[in-house]
Amino acid sequence: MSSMELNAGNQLGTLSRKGQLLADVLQHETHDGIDIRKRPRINEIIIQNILLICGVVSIITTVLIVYSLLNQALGFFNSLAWLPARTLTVNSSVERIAVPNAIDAATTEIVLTTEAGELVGGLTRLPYTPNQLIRIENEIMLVTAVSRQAITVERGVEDTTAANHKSGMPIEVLVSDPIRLDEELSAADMQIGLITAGRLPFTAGQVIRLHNENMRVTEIAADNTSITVERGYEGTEAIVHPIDEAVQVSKQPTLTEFLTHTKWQPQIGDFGVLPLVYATLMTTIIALMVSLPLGLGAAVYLSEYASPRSRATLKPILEILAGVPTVVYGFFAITFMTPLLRGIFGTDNVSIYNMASAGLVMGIMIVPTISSISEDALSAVPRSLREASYGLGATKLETIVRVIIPGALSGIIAAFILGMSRAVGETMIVAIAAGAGPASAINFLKPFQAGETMTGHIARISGGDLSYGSIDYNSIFAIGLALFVMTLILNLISGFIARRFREVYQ
Amino acid sequence: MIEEGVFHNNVLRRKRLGILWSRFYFGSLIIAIVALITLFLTVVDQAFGTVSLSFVVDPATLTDGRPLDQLSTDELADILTSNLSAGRSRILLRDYVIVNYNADTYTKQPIQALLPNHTLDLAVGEKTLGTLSAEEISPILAQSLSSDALYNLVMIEVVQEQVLESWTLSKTVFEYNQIVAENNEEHPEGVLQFRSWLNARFLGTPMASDALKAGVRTALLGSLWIIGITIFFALPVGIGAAVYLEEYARAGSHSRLFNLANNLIETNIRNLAGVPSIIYGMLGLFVFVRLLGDLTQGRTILSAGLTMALLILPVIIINAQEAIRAVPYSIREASYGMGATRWQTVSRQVLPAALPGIMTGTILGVSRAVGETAPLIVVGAATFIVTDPTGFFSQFTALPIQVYQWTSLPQVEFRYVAAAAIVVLLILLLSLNATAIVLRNRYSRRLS
Repeated sequence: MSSMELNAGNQLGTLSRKGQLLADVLQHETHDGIDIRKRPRINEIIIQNILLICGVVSIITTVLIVYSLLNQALGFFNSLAWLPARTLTVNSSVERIAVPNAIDAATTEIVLTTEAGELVGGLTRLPYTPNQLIRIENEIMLVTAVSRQAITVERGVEDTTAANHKSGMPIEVLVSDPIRLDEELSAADMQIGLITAGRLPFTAGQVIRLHNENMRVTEIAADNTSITVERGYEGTEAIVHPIDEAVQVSKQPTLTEFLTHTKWQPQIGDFGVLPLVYATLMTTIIALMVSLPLGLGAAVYLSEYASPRSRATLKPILEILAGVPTVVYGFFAITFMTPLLRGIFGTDNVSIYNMASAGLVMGIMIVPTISSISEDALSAVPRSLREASYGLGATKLETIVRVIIPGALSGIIAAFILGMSRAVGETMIVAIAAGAGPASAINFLKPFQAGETMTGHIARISGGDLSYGSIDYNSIFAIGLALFVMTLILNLISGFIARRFREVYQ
Repeated sequence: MIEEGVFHNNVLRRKRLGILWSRFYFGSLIIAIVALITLFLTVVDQAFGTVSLSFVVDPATLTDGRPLDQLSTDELADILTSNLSAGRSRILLRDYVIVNYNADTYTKQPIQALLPNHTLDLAVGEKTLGTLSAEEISPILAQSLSSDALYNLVMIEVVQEQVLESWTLSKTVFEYNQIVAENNEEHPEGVLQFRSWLNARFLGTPMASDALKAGVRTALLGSLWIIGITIFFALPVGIGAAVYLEEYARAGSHSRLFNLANNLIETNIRNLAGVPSIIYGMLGLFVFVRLLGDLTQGRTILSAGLTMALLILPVIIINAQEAIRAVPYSIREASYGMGATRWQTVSRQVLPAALPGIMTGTILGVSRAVGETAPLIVVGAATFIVTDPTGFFSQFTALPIQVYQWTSLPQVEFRYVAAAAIVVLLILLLSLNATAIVLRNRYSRRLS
């Protein structure tokens, strides 16, 4: 044990002896009935608890956020979208073409030419049109585009799964007919006559809906022309229905469909959140491509090159960028950036609402976030490291690139991820500039096209007259939950990396 | 050994590279600043400009040379009644002054009975609405309507102004000849006029479906109401939480559970600060608008203010914590040394010393709340509202909401109106931040 430690130990001993003495005095000596320990303790405790409650409010906020998102998102997965019931029948007037080559489950383009380059079956043109349903074996596909020799399809639609098909299988064209009433239905009638082209797609026990009345199917006639139902099911009122009214069946969103399908239009039963996620990723990537070099460059300049005086003027100016309301950035995007992009790349290539404009402006918005955190990280690199580098003959740039930036890397990454989280959660810029409308086509990697992001969709849906309990209302909470989870993970990673970085030099 | 020439060249190359990159670093900072300036210029460019107006009666011919908006109420009422038919004047009187009338009997009642709060000449008061002459209607209008309302009536009823086309400020300054040529060709009847979309009337009138008459009055008042409610709820809770975390949770040794709870609060606040604002909107929609709908009456100013209060709470707490941490420990020790309890120390020494910092932090938080749009959209801002907010339970709109709605409209005039609203919003933010700086400077001088 060194003498220094001995000394410290002695001092500690003296201190504790003194403390013991003081405690003895306080405990035993209560001269003339005055107890100097007596303080208004009750007030203190009350105040401490009030302050504690203030602190707990933040926890309550988090709990409320999670509760409202979870609760209403569960409501989404429990809600039903009512779609017209249809039967799919084969259109026999269209000639059946045999597929010339085998098709595997992942292909989306079906080439219909012989080896000689001619169309199969001696056709002069393909008898298909976009949006048509076709069937090969048991798989149903949606035709999205038709060229001279091939068709592009979406595989495995209408609850079928994409599978491999051997060559020579015929392609059948399907027609989808809505199922309608064959005569007026009185409020008491239990037997419903239906017009349908094929087999009725109902099962006993299924709930169907006509206008606002729910009915439970009890029996399906063998000849496929009528069903027997329980009227006024689930608290709805049995009413008279006119002839030709369409029968509706329900569709419930599932988590798998929500996470994997590529169409989002909850009112008509498309529950795939992916197009919204893609648009969000697209704008975020564009924003980061702008803000990462700019933010990091600005941080390096402010931290390494700028004199204290110019830093004192430049930094606040940069921080004004962070204080500008996002709706103003949205205005800037639509009135400045979009016309600029359209001017450079041509109005034919760039649509009025596009993700590039929103992304670029969002990038400018994030610059101060990235630069201020990166700058803190850069300044935290100890002076000794710089001096060592200069001592070895490195130039300033080499010191920055080889020593300082690697030393501050975790802080820079933390800044980058925080910027990403801000871009993902940013609403107004994308709501104004990136476009709106049902997200059914995926515009991934097409930055000059319109694309509705998760936040943009929430803003658009809730901007209108949103009625509680509608599937639209619940769906925004499901999106909100996905958004919350995404940003939370990003923030946690950022915080984790930032903490690691702090430990390096202290 | 490296040859001297090679070595020299190498050094030169490294230096050149260094200079190149230092330009890039400086350049990125400059790009950011240029973007900021461009942003402001874009807004200003559109908030002012030239408009081509058409009107039925030229406002210059109505007066003796003074601009219309400087006339007194009497003069405006005279212009109104003398340029309209007596029948139209009577309809204006009925729709704008009498307002609440019994549709079956009002034509037979004497005018004094219809307007019990007005002092009218006996002879005039006995007449019915149908027999009043234009000269008699004029003083009644002048007596009961504000000059703003009368001005608007003159513009709508007499002048009947319409925007044919509008141009931005930059075009007005640099390409005025082209504007004149364009106007002569396309709208020969149009009169070119410089227009500041941002003007006194813009601040004083509510939303309208016509760009010329639209204003931000309702939105501005809505924003102020929301700020008030936000501060009322967020400030005490925020300071309380900060004091707790800095003065109570840290001091002394506590049980493990207690420390865990404090850490949880601390981490939680950091994470809350990173939650996207639209998520707070959804919280507000579900909790304040729906669950507590009986208390808040649904989509009201109160719901919006409470949502905003939760949104800026983390900002206030984090800033207040920093301000409290900056108070030197010696002050606390001196206070404890004098025998003060912890709360006495906090309330009489620490809080007053930390006040300027707390104020600054609060104002920063409030300026964030002023500019936030997304949560208000989700909570349910009204899309078209012309009545001033009167209390906690009014429907609301706010400045950024108004900017968003105008920006989304297809007519280009509303872009200009949106730009004017942005200028108002930025001025509001600027004055808030200026207040923060002034407060900080004044108080910190007094304490040091």
